[in-house]
Amino acid sequence: MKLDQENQSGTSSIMGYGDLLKFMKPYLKRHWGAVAVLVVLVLGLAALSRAIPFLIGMVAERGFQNKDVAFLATAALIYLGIEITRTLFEFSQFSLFSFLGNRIIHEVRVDLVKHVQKMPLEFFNQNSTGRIVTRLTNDPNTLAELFTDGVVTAFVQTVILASILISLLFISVKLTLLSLLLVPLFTYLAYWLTEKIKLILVDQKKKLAEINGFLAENFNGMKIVQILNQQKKSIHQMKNLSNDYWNLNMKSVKAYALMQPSMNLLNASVVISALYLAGGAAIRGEIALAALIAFVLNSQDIIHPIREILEKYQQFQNSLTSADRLKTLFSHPQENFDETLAVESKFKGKIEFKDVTFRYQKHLPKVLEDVSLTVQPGQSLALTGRTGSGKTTFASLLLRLYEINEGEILIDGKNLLQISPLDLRRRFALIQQDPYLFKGSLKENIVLGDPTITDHHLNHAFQLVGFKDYLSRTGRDLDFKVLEKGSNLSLGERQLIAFLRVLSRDPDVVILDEATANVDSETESLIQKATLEIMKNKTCIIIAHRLSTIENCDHMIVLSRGKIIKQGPPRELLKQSEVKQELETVH
Amino acid sequence: MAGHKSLTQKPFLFYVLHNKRPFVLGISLLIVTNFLDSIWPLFIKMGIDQIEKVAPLSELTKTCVMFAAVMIMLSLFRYGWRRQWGEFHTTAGEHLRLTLFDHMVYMSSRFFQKNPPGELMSLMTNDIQSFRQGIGPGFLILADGIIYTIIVIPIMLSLNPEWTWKSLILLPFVPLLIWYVMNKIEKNYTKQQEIYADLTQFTEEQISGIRVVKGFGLETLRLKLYETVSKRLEAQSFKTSVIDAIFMPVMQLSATFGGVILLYVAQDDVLSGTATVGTFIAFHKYVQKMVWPMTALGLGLSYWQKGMASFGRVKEILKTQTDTPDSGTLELKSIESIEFRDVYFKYETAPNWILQNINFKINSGEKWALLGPIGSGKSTLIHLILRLYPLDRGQILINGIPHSNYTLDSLRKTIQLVPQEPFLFGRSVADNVLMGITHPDPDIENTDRRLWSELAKFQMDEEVQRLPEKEKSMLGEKGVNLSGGQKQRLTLARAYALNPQLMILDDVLSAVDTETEFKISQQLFADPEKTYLVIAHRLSTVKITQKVIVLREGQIEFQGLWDEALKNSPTLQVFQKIQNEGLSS
Repeated sequence: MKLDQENQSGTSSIMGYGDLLKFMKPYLKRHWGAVAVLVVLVLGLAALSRAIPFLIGMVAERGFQNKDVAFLATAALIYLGIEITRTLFEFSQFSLFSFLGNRIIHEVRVDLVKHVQKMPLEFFNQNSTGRIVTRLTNDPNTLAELFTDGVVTAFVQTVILASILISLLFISVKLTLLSLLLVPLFTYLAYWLTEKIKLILVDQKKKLAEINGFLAENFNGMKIVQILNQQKKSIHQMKNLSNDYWNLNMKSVKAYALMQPSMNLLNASVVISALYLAGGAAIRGEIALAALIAFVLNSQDIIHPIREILEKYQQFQNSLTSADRLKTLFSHPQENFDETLAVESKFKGKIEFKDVTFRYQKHLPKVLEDVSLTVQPGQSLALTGRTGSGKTTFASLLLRLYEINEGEILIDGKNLLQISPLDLRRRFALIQQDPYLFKGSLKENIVLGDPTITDHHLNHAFQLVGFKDYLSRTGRDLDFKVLEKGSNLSLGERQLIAFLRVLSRDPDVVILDEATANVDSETESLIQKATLEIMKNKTCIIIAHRLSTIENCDHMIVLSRGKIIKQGPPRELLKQSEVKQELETVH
Repeated sequence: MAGHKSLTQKPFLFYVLHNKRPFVLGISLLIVTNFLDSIWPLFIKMGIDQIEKVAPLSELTKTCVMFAAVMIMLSLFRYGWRRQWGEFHTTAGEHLRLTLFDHMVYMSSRFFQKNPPGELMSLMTNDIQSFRQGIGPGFLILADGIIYTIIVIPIMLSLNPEWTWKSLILLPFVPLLIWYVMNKIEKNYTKQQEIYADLTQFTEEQISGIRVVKGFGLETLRLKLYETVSKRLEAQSFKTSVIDAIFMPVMQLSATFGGVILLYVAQDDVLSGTATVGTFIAFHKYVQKMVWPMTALGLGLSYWQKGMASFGRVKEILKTQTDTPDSGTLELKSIESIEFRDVYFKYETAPNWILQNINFKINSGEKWALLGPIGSGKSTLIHLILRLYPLDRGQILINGIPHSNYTLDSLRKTIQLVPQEPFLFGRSVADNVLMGITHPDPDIENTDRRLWSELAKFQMDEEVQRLPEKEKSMLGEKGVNLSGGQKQRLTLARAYALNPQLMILDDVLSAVDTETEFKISQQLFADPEKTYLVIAHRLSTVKITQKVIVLREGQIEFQGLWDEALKNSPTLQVFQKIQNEGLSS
């Protein structure tokens, strides 16, 4: 599966709000207690907020108009009580929402990594690390924002809007309908504006991405710009970009500048008609002063929720795409880890390939074709051939990093498909040309968190290679901090770590991808020592580049374009001119 | 550059003076808007008082019409200031962005080494944005808060002085609290970003190292570690949002307490008839309305502070002068000789000399090879010729005159350097190759012919023909993928399109196969007009030059003819030995 490019236009999404809720459901279900408390808080908060206009209305009528002093004192206390409770409710609501939101992103994030790391290697070959990382880190964030900022706000504001409407209707149905007459018109206007702003924002984002691209290119290639005397041209291009961006910014400034005034007008239309209509009714004696004041104050609050809902609706749409992408990622098949397979604690190390054919994708050419061979336990096999002849693929198939298309692979006479890949990979060790090192100490990079590796094992491995002497000679120890990707170690040292990972584990089969690149002479001799140690009493498959290594093997095959063209004892094969020619062009 | 002076010293004043119209209009319209916004509760007061007194409906009608008129005006003025103000800070932001870019384009390679692209980009986008936020919305919110206070307080005082100070007694604490909370949020947010960076890095390791993870069955273990980091992020994000959550209650509670106090202090006045119910309602509205200006003071101050911190970083760059100023006045037309005289150079970051005591002279038409182990200073040496770095000591003389006396433009027209890393721009093949030509031939056919002849020189013509859109194919991320060798040959064609007299090549055919490399080099060196200084790793390629300079640890080990070089330069002897072995293994 190939991941989509970042959808910058962010307009279309196949996902609807219903799908989003379905996606979130298991997570919400897990925290149903918190969700329930939240619903209570939201409803309570809406009710408390509505109580205030009524209270003030009563203060005006009963307290001031009817001069009930005792009521005023009580009202003040009630007011204070309501406000404090409201603040507490609001604070807890907010905190609980953010707790829930953050917890859910954490869970989605972990689930994602758990899922992705079990995906077949193909996936990692097809997609750049950067893109996968963005999916794993950015998208859950956007999803959480969408949830806490979008769904939740929309829900809360809808409840508030409903509570205001109920309060108004409770005072007078007729007044409510009349004073809200203009609301649909302004709401439509605001909706139209938000849509317009959304489009401008999309353009703005695109332009900014263009500017960023331009800057990245120019800063990275400044030397070329200067050598070719292109400074003025670059400045000119930047000026054009900046001009375009200015225009877009002004467009959004104008659209936003329209937004608030139109909301003000909506507010005014409601409040003034409420004042006028309810005032008229009060003068005619149809409603009481308290009701009038409550009505006017309530009507003022109606704008805020409408605006919020519109705004969130717009933000929402942009974020739905990331939810969609996550859903697709989750639906991607994982490696076939049949959990029912018997656990193998030890392999003898007999390896058979029977007519194995493999290609990476249907439309690509075959990488291996009808490969058959047998390696007896304890034997070593040298794989040779030019770049692209299929040597590395051969090794990957053995670890079941890819599934073969035709033929079968047998380990100790058992089909590879009947062996749990996890066991297989635990007992078969791979040493790569440029092995990956994690950030951490040297020791951590060798042990890789395996609790069964004791200091005894480690010391034994170090002794075999003379690693500790090497470290002390170069002024380091096992606690030496390795930087990201092992960037503060030489290639030779990184390879040495890969050997030590394997030597301290004592696996049943070793697959070694020998380095082609030149390493410095000091590590070179250590690596040669390690290679000999590893080959002792073990089945070994070596993708060999050095003559000395090939000579030390029991058996040798020469691959060309995915086929075995020669096989036999190395000493005999190496004498043949055809083989020699094939090997000379290896580099 | 003297032009930056007033900008770097007083950026806000600078932009106010350069955008007088939108600034003055914006502020004036804001004042009117605030005034209108402050008086509208008075209409509610009037209305309620009229209703309470059971006045005739016509009076209420009058009040409502006036109310509506004020609200319409308010909307218009609000639109006006927002638009003007938006123009003010948008213009300022773009101006600063361009000024910064202009400045950086003329900096030497040393500057770009010290300031990696990522940092410069963040300066050009994030810091500009935050500066704009500071002098735009930041300053505005601050002004808004102050103007509002100046208008509302007198209105409140005129309604009732005693109510005013009693109900507003808590408000002065609001800006302080808001400012405090904002700083706290900022700090926690930074922490959150740091943990987020950790998480991203961990994820990246997990994906880049997936072969090790799978190969050693590390899935469960790594997932556990990931969970810890993710959990840490969860905790910090939660903490940040809770602090964020304090913001609203702080704002509201001060109004609430004001309202409660008002209820107590207003009782007697309203009951005794010295104040009307309408006054009470309007006053209550004012107490609520005063929350915003107080919040604005805190908020505006914090935006302003952030914007100025960003400007500080921009200023650092604007104040850095280029160390290779284009102060030469001579036009370099042709090259007779180029001579290094006692040249020394070191990078700012390292204490040791990269080049020491370099002396040599190349005459027009000569072909030279420059050899030496990795890190011996070869690339640095050739960069000095084009003044991509300044000299620390000594001189480079072109036709006997120091090369800084020539204009950069003419220097770089006569001499071309093709660096080791092939860098192409995300444009079409043709645009890339013809990029350096400042005055293209108006006859398109001529330009076209030139393009294809340059491509042919490097055996790229057929390969370009095979691309989906030929010479119009786009390169880069969204375009076609070229191999390393193809990229190298395009960069060569780009340099040759300028027809320079001295060509400096930095191992530019390393990704091309030996045979093609040899053929191309032979053809290039055959031109008697052109002078060459060539770095290459394959000895077979450079052996066809006449002379050689061997660098070792920043010093010249040997210079002269090839035959003597092989006899006298130990470095070269080791080279030859290794390369002979390499071919036969």
